[in-house]
Amino acid sequence: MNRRDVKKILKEDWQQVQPSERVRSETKRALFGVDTESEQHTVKSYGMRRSTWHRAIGAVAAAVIVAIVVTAVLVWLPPKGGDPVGPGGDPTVPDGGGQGVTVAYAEAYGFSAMSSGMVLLKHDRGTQEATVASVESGARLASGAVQSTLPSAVTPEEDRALIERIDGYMELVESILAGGGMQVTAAESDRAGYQMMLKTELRDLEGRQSVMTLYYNERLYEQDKEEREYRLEGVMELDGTEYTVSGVRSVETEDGESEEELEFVARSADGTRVEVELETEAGEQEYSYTIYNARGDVIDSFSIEAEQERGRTEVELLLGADRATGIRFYEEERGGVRTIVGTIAQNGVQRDFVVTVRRNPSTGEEQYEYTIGEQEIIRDKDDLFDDDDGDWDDDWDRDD
Amino acid sequence: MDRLYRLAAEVNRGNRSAFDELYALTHKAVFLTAFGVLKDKMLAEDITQETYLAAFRGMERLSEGSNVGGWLTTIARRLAINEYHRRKREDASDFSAESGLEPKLQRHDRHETLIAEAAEVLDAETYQIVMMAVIGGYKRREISKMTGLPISTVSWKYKKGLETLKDYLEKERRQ
Repeated sequence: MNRRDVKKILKEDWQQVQPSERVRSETKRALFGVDTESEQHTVKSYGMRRSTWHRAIGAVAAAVIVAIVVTAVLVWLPPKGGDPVGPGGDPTVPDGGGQGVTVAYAEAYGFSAMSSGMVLLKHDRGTQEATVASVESGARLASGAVQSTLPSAVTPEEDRALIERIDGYMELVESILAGGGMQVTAAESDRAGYQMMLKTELRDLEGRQSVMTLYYNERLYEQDKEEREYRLEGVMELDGTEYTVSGVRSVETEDGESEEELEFVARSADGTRVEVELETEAGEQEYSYTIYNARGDVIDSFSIEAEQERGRTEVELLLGADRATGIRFYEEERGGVRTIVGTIAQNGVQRDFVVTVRRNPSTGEEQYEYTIGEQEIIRDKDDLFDDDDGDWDDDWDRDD
Repeated sequence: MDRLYRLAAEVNRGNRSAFDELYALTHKAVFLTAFGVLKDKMLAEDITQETYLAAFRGMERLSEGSNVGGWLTTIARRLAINEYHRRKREDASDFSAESGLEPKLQRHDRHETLIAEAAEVLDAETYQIVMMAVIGGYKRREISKMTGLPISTVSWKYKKGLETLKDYLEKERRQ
């Protein structure tokens, strides 16, 4: 018995329980009166059409996007400072009777840590103006200076608000578009109290480097025939700032297929925390982020996915708890200059934009320059973006 | 403009086909909310119908940006709970005080299905989330919007709900 069986039984039961057609017809009659035309009209099957662009990173695409250099494979590392203790107080048997964390998951940990650290760092910079000046020279980070060109039907203030919204996610998007510029290296920790060390190096589109180092312990927390759960505790260093991290990773296997989930939490000193959820099923991945302030209020929520489409990497962000705003990005070269091209869709309209990296002549700092286009009305109200697609999308369960 | 709100506004203007579309998108959530309380198909059907009628009587409370899905399920839950208490009072009055018999809610059409049993096993919020996801096919963000819960909470309750039902079924099989 597993969760798939439960879902299958519920769906079978629904055939007995679902309301009959008379509920719809009688309700309609009560609302509108008797239909003078034949009531035996064909009821359109509206279904639950969704954008099929909402796809996740394929296993092959992930290998293209994130180049992993693994130096320690399936190594059992003796813990520093004593054996990890399981829930019952007894020493935990390492997974596989001798194996530590599989570094097959190093990529997921590395990206989760790097991305959550970038989000926290940007939040810190947003609340402390001095941090802009303290940015390490090795990493190009988004600046607050933005400008928009091209006339648009909206006001300059609305343009600026829109650009600032996009700007808030540019670093993260760029880290994905950098593709082969990200390397995750696993090694024995050189910091006391932690078994493992993951170093994630990111080169941005201009070739500059950021380095995130994650020190952590991971132990098998519980397991049964089909499911194993691991717990992680550690610290992460990014751009001179340290964050505490924790995580839960679960692996469920049935009939040779596995589902993996990772929940990763990074906390800054002021109490801000980022929760990252990664779900992997049938080789596909989806990252969801929720950011909380020190009081526990949600201050941002978004998901991010990438795929190889039309011979290029395309990244899609869905913003807000209701995921009602979508932003798509891809990279291309225009006139010898590397640019990021995108579309933002919300409230039934979409706008194209282009992002280039320019050096500010006054400050010498590099900054993102945005050029934003006119508003376009989205024709198909069923989709967030104006795509020509009509397939279903289901990110709950892909075994139907 | 939110699609459900647009449809609700069209229904309010007398658009029949808009009602068909709105119903298609929302009736599972409404019905399952009622069924989770009443555990009776026929009663849940009645509540489903009443929900839409009550909703369109109270359309003036809606405005652009309103959470139409959450509004409908809130009405459904309120009506279902009222019906539950009403029937319980009626059933209790049918029993003699001396009989010592526990009054039970009479159910026309009790379903011995996991969908019905799950309503006993899970708390109301988790039941709603699991059913809306598995049966309704709603995505996490849609359920988050309807329930007002963060997406991460929806995910967690969904997983925990399925786990609880799995354990429940395993225990039932052993007995």
